[in-house]
Amino acid sequence: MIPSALSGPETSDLAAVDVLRRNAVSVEGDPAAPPIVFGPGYGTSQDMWRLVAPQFVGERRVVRFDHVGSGDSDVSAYDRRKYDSLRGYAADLLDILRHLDLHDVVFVGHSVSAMIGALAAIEEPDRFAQLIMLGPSPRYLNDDGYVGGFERADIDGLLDALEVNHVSWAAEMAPALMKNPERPELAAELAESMARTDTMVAQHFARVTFLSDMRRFLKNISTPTLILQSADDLIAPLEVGEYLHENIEGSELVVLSAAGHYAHLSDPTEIERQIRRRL
Amino acid sequence: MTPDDVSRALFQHAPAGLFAMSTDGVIRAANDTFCDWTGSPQDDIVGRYFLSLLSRGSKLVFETRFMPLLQTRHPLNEMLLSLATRAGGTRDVLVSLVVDDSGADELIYAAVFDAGIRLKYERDLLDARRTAEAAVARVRIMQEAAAGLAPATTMAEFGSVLRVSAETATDATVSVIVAESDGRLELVSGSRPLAGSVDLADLLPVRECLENGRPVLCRSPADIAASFPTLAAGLDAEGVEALCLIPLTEDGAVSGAVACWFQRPRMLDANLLDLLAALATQAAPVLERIHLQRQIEHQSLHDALTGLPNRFAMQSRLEQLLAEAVLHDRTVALLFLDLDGFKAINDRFGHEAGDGVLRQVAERLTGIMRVGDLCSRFGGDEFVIACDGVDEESALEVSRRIWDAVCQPLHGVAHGSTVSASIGISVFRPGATQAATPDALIARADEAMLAAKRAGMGRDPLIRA
Repeated sequence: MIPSALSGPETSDLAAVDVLRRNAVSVEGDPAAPPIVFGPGYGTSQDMWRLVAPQFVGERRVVRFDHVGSGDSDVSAYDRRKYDSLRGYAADLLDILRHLDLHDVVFVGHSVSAMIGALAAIEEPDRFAQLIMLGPSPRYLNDDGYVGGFERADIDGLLDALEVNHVSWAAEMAPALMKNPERPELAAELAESMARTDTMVAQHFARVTFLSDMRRFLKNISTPTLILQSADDLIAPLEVGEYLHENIEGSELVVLSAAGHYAHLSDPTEIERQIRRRL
Repeated sequence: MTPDDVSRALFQHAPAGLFAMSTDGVIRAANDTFCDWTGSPQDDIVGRYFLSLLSRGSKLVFETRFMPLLQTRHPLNEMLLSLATRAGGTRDVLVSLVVDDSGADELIYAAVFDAGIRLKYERDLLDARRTAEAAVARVRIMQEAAAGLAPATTMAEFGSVLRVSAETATDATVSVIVAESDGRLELVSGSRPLAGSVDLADLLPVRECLENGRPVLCRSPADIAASFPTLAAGLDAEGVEALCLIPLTEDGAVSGAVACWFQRPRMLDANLLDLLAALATQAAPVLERIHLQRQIEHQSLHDALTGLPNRFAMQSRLEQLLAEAVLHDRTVALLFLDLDGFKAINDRFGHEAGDGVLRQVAERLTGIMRVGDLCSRFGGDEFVIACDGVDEESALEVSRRIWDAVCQPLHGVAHGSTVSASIGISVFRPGATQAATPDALIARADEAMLAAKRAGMGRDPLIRA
């Protein structure tokens, strides 16, 4: 009944080209090679995978994309009802896989994309060969014995901070960026990308990301799963990785020593090695 | 003091916190001012993640919003963040960062300014703006609802406007449900969960809302499981993780509900509930008006005494029937029935008894009609019945059944008395009938009835083609 609910192969009647544009999908590598798909975390774009994804181009069909509302996606496709749940994002991911006719997908999802990938894999397990979760969390809020790392007030603090910072962001940051003489193209690009991700979308996505509860879906994951958890990830504490490992049957948990929440940037070689180990 | 001493003193005691960190966020050096603000000594600060010094809300925004930017090595200016002090408090600060990649190690330099006063001011502004924006959004939703509801004349229009308004207010999937006068529930707009497995009348949250006339709220899957255990699995399978139903009232009585089905746990705070309640209040008189319009429409097409369609309804329906008959080359039989012996009962037992007789006859007629047949009270003690796809032979059969039913002994005041009927039939046959209009067809059947009555034919009707 829910318009964005994952309801069989007819989820979207968009043409392939529209789906690819909507999610700014980029495809590299041999079209005949088995696919590997990289999903970006909350507040980030596919660019965050720039140190890892290209390493697979020689042997895989490498697909990257942006969530609607982030990166280079089509913000006009942002429908608050659809994206009021991670299911809306999972439906988009399935759209992409269907339109590119991808099977045996190795899906590597950072942060919120890990759970989005899990929802998609629960819906269409046949398309997925592996789920690789980097810094995932099924529930960010602490809850009756469960350690998520945050309280509701913290999330409200985040929503506040997003909003108060938007002022300095929009008004001061963009011109400041332009003054960076060494990397003007980078500055312009960033200013542009920030202008695109407006605060309203960021706040809504934050609510959906940090207030959703995916714990009860974990038992439905049948795809072989690797959990990559940084010991010092301040967004997803170690307990969360352990919880996921206990609740996803047959999953493997690898604790990375000191890589933070953005291990794909801080330690790309190790992430590449871990992914390769599972191929 | 040498210039170096001054530089050092400036670094340590400037009225701004200063620190340097590596690109992975570990603090490498910090001045006294910054250490004072955090409440921790130098050697405790150096070697720690900057992130670990922030309050949790700031941690989230820094890690998810600023770190990705910092990773692309561009400066960040005047981020409003909140330091978690060693004493357990917080200190609001403005932080600016630049990346220095000129040396052997890439380093990030930070300047930190106390922003307690400014941030309080910003927060007050933010609160004021939020309140104002919420009020504006609320007013806009209410205005759009009002503008949409005012011209609504059908239940579908009414439902659609109300649904869209509620969806805008909640980001939920909304169904608008209305109870008809016979108690039947109708989904007038939107989709609903469990449509394939549970009747609308058995959808417990809907039932509870309509029975109690109070909002029904479940904020999480656990709430749903506790309140509606039998539906929990089904709702979960359809992705419903929270729900909220607001009753629609009409003249003080509950006559429907606005049901919001959420795809994630929701707080359902007072503001949201107030807004939905305001929408429901705004919708109430419109719902009443549409119901009244429906009633008037029904009355204009129905006979108040028997509830049967009236002459006007029969004429317009017959027009449709004939057009369809031509299209599909089908016959239409029209039976004109006039009661015999009715006047005597009326005279003997009074008008009320006569009304009772007419009602009984109407019931008996509708009791033997097929689906698709149309039975009307044409006036007085005359009834007209249209049977689609029926030829002369079948029409005779129908008329005999009607005659038998009408002639059964009566109940009520006229208990034991009987009436009888004279029946005339005209049959419309596309291409071969003179009487091709509804009026002509009725007139032919009327003539046949009168002829049958004159001839005292009783059970045997007359047919005029």
